[in-house]
Amino acid sequence: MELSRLPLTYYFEWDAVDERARRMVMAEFAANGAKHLVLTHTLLKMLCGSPALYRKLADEVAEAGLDFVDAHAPFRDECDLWLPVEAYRRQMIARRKLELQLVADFGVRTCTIHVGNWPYPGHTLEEYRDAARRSLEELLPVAEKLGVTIALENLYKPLNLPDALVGFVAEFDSDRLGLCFDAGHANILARGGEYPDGTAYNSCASMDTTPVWDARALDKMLPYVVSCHLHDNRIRRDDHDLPGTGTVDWKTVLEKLSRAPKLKCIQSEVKPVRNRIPVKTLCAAFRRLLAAPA
Amino acid sequence: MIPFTYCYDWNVFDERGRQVAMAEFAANGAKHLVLTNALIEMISGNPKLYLKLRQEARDAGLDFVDSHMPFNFETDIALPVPEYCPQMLARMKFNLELIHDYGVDTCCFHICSRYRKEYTMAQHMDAARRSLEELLPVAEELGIVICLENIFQPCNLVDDVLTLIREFPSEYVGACYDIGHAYLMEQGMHVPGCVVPSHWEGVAPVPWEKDVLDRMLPHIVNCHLHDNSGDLDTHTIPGMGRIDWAPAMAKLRTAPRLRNMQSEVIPVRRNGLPIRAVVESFKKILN
Repeated sequence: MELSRLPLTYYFEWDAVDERARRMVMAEFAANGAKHLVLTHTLLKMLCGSPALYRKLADEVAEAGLDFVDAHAPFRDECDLWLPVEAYRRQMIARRKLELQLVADFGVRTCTIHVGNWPYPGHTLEEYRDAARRSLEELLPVAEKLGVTIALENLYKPLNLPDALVGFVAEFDSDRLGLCFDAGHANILARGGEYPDGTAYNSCASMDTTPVWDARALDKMLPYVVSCHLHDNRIRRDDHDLPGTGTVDWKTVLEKLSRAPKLKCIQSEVKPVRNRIPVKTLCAAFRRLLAAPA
Repeated sequence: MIPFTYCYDWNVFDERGRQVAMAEFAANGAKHLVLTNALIEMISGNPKLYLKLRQEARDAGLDFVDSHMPFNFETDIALPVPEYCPQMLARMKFNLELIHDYGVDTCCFHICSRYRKEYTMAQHMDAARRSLEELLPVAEELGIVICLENIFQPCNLVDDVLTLIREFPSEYVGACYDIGHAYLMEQGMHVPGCVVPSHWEGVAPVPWEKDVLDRMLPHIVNCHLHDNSGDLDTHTIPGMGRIDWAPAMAKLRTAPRLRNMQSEVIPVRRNGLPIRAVVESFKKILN
């Protein structure tokens, strides 16, 4: 499969701009040849908190000649699938259902959800796993009804690692449950052991554990990958920088992704504001990346 | 003792300002706050606030009593556009969960905040029925009473409120008596510049109402107390408008289902009133 034929969709830090600037940034993406944007976790939070924003945002993207492809659910702060505190779970599930509805209403068909970021001291790994399972049991019927595929993303903490993610997919055996391959996170998971002060160690320290390094994330995830987050880093930190600025082996990643049987879209998860990258530079970098022979 | 709870325009404050305002309410003797539509929208849009806001209230020695569902075209139970309804219902179910988690057991709903003239009143009311069919089981499970409010706009009349209460005979459906809105509908026809007719232009002649409190009394679960002069819906403190408070309060206290009373004075945005003035004005009419 030629990756350049799949929709390429762009992440942006929309909380860094107000409404007028948001329209300008959308126009900037369109002027640089972008066709699609990500319905990001920030936009979903804004939509949950502001009912009137739904129609407004739909108008804004349409006016810019863009649409939303791929989505990312909010994470942390009592939002995670693995949330083990019973008293908080119902609101989390209801929030997730609203997000899935918003995703579907925007015509988006894939939504990345983290299994878990936020630690809850005193809970065992099995309790987290059980909570994540129960969340998926409740959410998958909603996703199926709405035609949205939930994509679990690889991170560094337990239950967010490739083997665990593949385990969830196998357990539920649903067309509406797949995986989101994050190239930057996979790069860190493969070689982060060289950086004891790095992101992966810090992330796991909050759960009193150490990372389980894995250099075969994409190989393991490949059959189930429905979406992907492409960004680069230099391993120590999760930079979300332009492809080519870090140590990700893009030739190998793209070659493998081109064989992912369920892949529906390609996402730039470069963070332009954090890294001070002009939209023009961002779009040009992804055009070059995807045009290069895999 | 029926708890008395205060509405406030929290969305004009940042986090520090919010904490100061809560302390101000407590310093003036308030015990309870309303989980307002603005607060619910803030929690919905910022998951960090889910635990934080409750802690802020506790730190101030306050708790939340009564709530108000967000309202607008997108969040009306009478939303007559079918393709928008799943989102509206998912939003309201999520909000009901938040309300429950804040320990609140009454929630005011507008039937119809944005009447759409391309649809009939019957279509709006049918939409409200369909919404209640979905929302009532959730409210019952959570132990929250859906309180339908009288407003001076189409589909929010006392008749509309009572119709839905009659059609959904549940202890988890009741009425929210809004004394300011009642006054506008009972006296507005005598007051030049009354805001009510503008809401009925192109819909129907204004169906001015009378005996609103008497008619709603058996079903009132919560109430919105604020004053006006019969022209604008100013949401000001008792005594700054023309409502005759003593008989109204005496009657309201006899409402058999009444669970709480709410100041729905809007101190900051509409009236520029200090919290002290708000709290003291209610102390006068409650004593």
